[in-house]
Amino acid sequence: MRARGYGLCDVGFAALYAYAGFVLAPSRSTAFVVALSIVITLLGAAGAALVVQGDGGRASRRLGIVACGVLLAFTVVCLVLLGCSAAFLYGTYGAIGRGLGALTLVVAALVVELFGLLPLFQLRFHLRGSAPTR
Amino acid sequence: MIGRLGGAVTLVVGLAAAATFAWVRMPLSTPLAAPTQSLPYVRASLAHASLPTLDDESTDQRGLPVIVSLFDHGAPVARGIGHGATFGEALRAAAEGLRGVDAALLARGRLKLDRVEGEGALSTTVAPLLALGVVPARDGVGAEAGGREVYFTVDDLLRRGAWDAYTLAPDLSLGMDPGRTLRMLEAALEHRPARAFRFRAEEVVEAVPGGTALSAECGRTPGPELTREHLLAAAEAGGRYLLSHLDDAGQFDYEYYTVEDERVGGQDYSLPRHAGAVSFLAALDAHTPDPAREAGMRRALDYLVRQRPHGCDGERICVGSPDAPVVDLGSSALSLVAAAEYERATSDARYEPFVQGLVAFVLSMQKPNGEFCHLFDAERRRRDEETQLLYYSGEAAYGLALTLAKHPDGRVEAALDRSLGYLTNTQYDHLAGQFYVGEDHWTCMAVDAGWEHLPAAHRVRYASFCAAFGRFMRKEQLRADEPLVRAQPQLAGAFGLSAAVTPHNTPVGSRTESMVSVWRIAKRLHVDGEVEVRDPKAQVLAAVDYLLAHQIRDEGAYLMTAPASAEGGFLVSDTERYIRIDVVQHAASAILRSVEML
Repeated sequence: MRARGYGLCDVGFAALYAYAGFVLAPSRSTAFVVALSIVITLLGAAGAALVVQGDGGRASRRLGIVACGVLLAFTVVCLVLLGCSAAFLYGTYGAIGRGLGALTLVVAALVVELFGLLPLFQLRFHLRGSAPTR
Repeated sequence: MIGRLGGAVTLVVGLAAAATFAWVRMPLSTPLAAPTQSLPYVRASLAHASLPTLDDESTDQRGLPVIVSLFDHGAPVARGIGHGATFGEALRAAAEGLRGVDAALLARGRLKLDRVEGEGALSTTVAPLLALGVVPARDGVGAEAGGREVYFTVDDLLRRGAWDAYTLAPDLSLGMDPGRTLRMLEAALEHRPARAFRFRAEEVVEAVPGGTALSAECGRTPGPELTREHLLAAAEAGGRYLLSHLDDAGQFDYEYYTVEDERVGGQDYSLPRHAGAVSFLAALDAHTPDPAREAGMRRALDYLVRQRPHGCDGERICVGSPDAPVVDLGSSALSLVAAAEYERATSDARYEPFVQGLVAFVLSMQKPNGEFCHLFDAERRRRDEETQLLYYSGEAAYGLALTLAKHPDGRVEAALDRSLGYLTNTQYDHLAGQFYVGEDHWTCMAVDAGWEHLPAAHRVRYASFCAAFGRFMRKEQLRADEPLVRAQPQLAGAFGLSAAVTPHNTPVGSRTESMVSVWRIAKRLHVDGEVEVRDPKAQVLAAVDYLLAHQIRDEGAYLMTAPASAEGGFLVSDTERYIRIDVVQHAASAILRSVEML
């Protein structure tokens, strides 16, 4: 039952990331767009597999672990680069950049909430307890 | 247990939200069928003449008042407030309030109708609710105590400068000042209000005394239709405003306060904005030459030539206040823009040494990575390598690009290319930088102006940035199909975020000037009609439609003390009722540049 819950979360968050990343605030960086597309594809696939196979699915569990691992790595890289961005803006533009830098740190906090928490909880679920039977 | 608690919390939150909504909502009456008939009706009633037709005679007025004001020199000098079951009854009662007004005053004043169409509750005890509970430039406020009611119409609030007065954070003020609003209501009632309310009115005003009635909103009447002829006329009117506010010494009235009829120059005078105003006049002159305008431009350019502190002479000329030891790049960069535009428009070469000196200075301020230093200690002849200020780098790039038309120079071409490389790429070369753009309107105007002088391999990269800049700006533009604009159609085409913040006219102008360049760049790379060309064009036309409606014309200037002094200008915003030269420059320039789209 919990696996299906996480599966639904994965699909929902994949849709949310697609909307935020491609419609609401698209990036001009091709590398970012490619990385986000990979994350969305993996998360969507893992979510669908978890919904279909439920708690006992071995393949869905493996896919879920891979998707969460990639999402977690994506989050960490984003946080590092956002920290660098804040430092760059503050260091380059002084008083003007301070506001933008602070805003970047606020975005970093949102990234932790929107990207970081789901894979942490889900990995904890996948990596504990007995191995699935199917 | 947790489920029950969650349910209870959800219920309480829902009920509180529903109660608040019911308290503040303001159901509006059905609009009048022919509101413009009301003012001739009032005039006839006051003159004891036979009354003309009033199609809305029996329209339900729901007990709400009808307010008829007489405006003279921008101020309401007489007012009648009438109540009645029907609109006809209420209008006649309001007209009675004007009986006895001096006939000469009545003949030279303009009548205005405010038919109250809804009232909503307003808190007098919770300051933020009072401050933010009234829609700027749309709602009036009223109060009641001891059976007496007072009404401050939207015009009264605009004239008093009631808006943008509640400080939420440094440099962020919204809504009304709660203390001042309460004192205003108390003074009018001579009592503490038992109940306060906001109200919205259907408004019409006479275009001239006793003349045709026009619909009104936000202290003005609707703008002309969006046509090439109206755009050209609006640009010309903007030029006339600037010239009429230019003195013999070549200095503009930096600000003109329309309620006070007060011209302000003095300490806060901005040389970049002075130069920007001249550059618009020159662009206008390139379109429609005018000897009187050219004489005015020369006075204003000579003023810039004289603004040269010690250390700003010689081969490298910089512009700054003669008393200031430190000059900024923007004053010199926009002086270069102004002088280069003048040369382009008139082919008069008298300012060529000035142009060459400014070019030398701007080049000397460039860093190896293409960015510019923004401050220069003229006394010590030393650049400030650290301080960064808004706009200056883009202005410098645009100045260099414009000079290339008359003075092709490989050094300038290389400097322009390095500058655009920095502005479009290096400054955004980090993760967060891939999600936003800054105030880069000058950057894309520089790409457009310098296109023929840029390396072919780099043009596409710069064009790609400008397309992204345009997309980012379109996200901030208020579109006609948005809920906010459906509720407040006067906002369509402006750039803004919410109903609580009145859009400012300067960014509408500056972004639109730049969007014309984005459109021109796109046209060089795409077929006309493709989305890359179509979207910027739609964006520009929506914005200039907004600007046409906001340009001050005599027929809509009933709130101005001296309409002739304000004609052709643009207010800073609907709620900040003064004109600054840069607002006129950017708005009129946007209008002028958009002419080629129609």
